[in-house]
Amino acid sequence: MVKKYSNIDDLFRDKFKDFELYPPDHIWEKIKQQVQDSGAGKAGRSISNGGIIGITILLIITSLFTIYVLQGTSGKDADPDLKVTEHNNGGSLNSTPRSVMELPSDKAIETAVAETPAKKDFKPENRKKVSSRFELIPASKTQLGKSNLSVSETVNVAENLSLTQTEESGEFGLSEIPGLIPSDFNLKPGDDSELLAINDTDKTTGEQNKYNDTDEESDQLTESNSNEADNFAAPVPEIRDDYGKESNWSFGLFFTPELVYYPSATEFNSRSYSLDVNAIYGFSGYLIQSGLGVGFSSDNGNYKIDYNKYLGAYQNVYDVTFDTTGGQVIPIYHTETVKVYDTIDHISISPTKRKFTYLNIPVLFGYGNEGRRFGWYVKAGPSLSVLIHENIPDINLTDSQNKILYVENELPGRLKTNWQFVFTGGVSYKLGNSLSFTLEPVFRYYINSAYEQNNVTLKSPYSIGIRAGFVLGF
Amino acid sequence: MYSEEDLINRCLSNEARAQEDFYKRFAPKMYGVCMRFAKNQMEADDILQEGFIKVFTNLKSFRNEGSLEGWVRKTIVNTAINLYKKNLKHQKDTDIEQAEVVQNFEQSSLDKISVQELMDIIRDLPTGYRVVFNLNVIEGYSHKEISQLLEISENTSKSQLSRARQALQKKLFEINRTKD
Repeated sequence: MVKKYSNIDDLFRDKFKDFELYPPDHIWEKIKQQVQDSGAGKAGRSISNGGIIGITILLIITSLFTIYVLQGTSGKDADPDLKVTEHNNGGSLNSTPRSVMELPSDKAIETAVAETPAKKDFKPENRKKVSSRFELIPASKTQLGKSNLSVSETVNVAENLSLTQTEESGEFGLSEIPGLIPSDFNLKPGDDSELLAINDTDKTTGEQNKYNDTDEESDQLTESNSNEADNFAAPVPEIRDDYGKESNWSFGLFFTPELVYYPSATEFNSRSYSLDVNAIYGFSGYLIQSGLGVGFSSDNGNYKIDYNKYLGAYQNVYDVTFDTTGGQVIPIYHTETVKVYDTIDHISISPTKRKFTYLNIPVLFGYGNEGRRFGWYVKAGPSLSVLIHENIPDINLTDSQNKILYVENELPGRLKTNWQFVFTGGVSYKLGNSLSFTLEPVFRYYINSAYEQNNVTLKSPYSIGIRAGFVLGF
Repeated sequence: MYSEEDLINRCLSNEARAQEDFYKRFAPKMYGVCMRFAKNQMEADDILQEGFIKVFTNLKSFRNEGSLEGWVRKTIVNTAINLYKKNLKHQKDTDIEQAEVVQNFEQSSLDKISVQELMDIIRDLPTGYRVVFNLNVIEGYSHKEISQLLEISENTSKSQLSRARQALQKKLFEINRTKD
C-alpha cells in the first residue's frame, strides 16, 4: 500500500521513526576503553588509583631528596677523628667542628692538635710543656647556657696549640710552641684538616687547660704563659661547618589567582584561586619546595531540563467494595490521586554554578639567588590536585510538581585527581631579617584535564597566574 | 537478556558485559539519529562515541520517570547540539539561495523515496538548517526551545526551518523527476 503524505514533515517523521543503522565496531572499542578508564558510573569514589599512586610518588621523591640532602650534610662535615666528651656525664659523641667554636662557660677545655708528621716536628718535651699551659677564656657572650665540653683527640700524633679568638673579627689565632714556625701550618680557608682544637690527653702531667671564668669581659682564649702566647697569633679565616653550602629552612604562605585556558574549548575557560602553605629547603642556591594548598574553582553552566508540565490531579477509583453490615449495602470507593501532565515535552534552561575544592600537593625544585634586599628564583616541578569537595546545586524548576524527564548539565564532571607541571619564577623582597615578600608569575600545564574524558575537546589546558606570598626564614 | 532496571544497575557497577549489551541495544537507533544531525559519517561517529560516554557517565542520574530509550536519545541529541555549537564558530555555511516552493509533484510518489535518499538530502543541507529541521520536525522541539538550545532568536529558528523545508522540497522534486 502506497502512503500519501500531506507535507514533507510527515514524510521525514514516518521514514525516520524506526530507522536504525549499525555503527562501525571501532566506535564501541573506543567507548569501552574510555568508560573503563574513567570508571564511569561508579559513585562515591573519593580518590582514584591514579591519585593514590601520585601521592605515593610525591612522598617518595620528597623523602629520597630529604635523605640525600641530610646525608650529604652530615657526611661532608663530620670529622671521624674528632670526639667530644661531655664532662658532666663522661659520655662521648661525635661532633662537627662547630663545637670547637662554641666555647664552654665554666670548665676547662683541653685542646690538642692533630697534624701530619711531615708538617710539624715537635719534641715530646715541648708538647708536654705547652699542653700544660693552655688556658682558654671564652667570649663573654658564649659563656652562659653552654654545656661543658672537653674535646679529645683520637689520633696518635698530636701537638698542642693555643687558640685566640677575637669576637669582633670572628677569627682564630694560633699560638705555637717555641721552635714551630706558624707558616708551617699552611692554613687556608676551608682547610678543615688544619683546624685543630683538641684535647691534650696526656694526663700524666697533672696539668689541664683551664677556663678562666673570672674574666667575663675577655674575648680571647689565652695561654697562661703569656710570653709564649704572644709570640704567634696568626689570623685564620672563619671556618664554618656549612662552608660552601649554606642551607636553611623557610615557610611560606601564598595566594594564587589563576586563569585556566582550554585552547580547544573556550567555554571551559575558568578562574581558580589557591592558598598554599609550603616548606622551602634551600642549599647552595638550590631549593626544594613542597607543602599543601587548597584550591577553589567553579564552573558556570546551564541545566537543560526536559519536563512534562503538571496540569492537575484527579481521584481515580480503582476499587469498589460494599459494606453490608447493618442490613444496608454501602458502597466504599477506594481511590488514589493521579497527577496529570502535559504530554508535550518542555525544555527549561536554568543557569547553575558548580564549585570545587582541591587539595594541591606541589613538589618544586629550583634555583635562586638572594641579595641584600632583593632575590630571584625559578622553580619547576609536578603538582597533584585531589578533588576533596564539590558543591553542585540542585536543579531549579519553577514548578516543583512538573515531571522531570531529563536533566543535563552542559559541563562535564570533574576528575577526582589531575596532574600539572608547574613552572614559576619570581622575585623576593626582604621586609625584615627573616620575613620576605614574594611575587611570582605561575605557568601551569595540565598533564591531564581536570574534566572527565570528553573526547578531544579538553586536552592540553594550561593556566597563567600570579602568586603572592610571605616567606618566613629560620 | 537483562531487564532495563537490571541492565542499568549492572552498568552502574561498571560491568563491561552489561555496558556492551546496553550499547548494542540502543546504538543502532542512536546512530540513525547521529547520521541525521551530522554532516558526514565521521562526525556521526564522534557524536555517537561522545554521546554514549555521557550516557554511561551520567547513568546514575537517570530518573525512572521516563523511558530509558528517550533518555538516551536526548543525551545523543544534546551531544549533537553541543558539537554543532562548538563547530559553529569554525565554519561558515554558504547560504543556499531562496529555494522555489515546489508543491506540484505527485504526493504518492514520495513513498518511493528511500530512507537513505532522505538521509542524503538532509545531510546536504547547511548545518544550521539541518539542525533546526531535525530538532523541530523530527525531535519535536518548539521554536522557543530551539532558540534556547542553540542560543539564537525564535525568528532565526523559524526562518531556518522555512528555508530548510524549501531546500528539501526542491531536492525531493529533483529525485522524483529522475525516478519518473
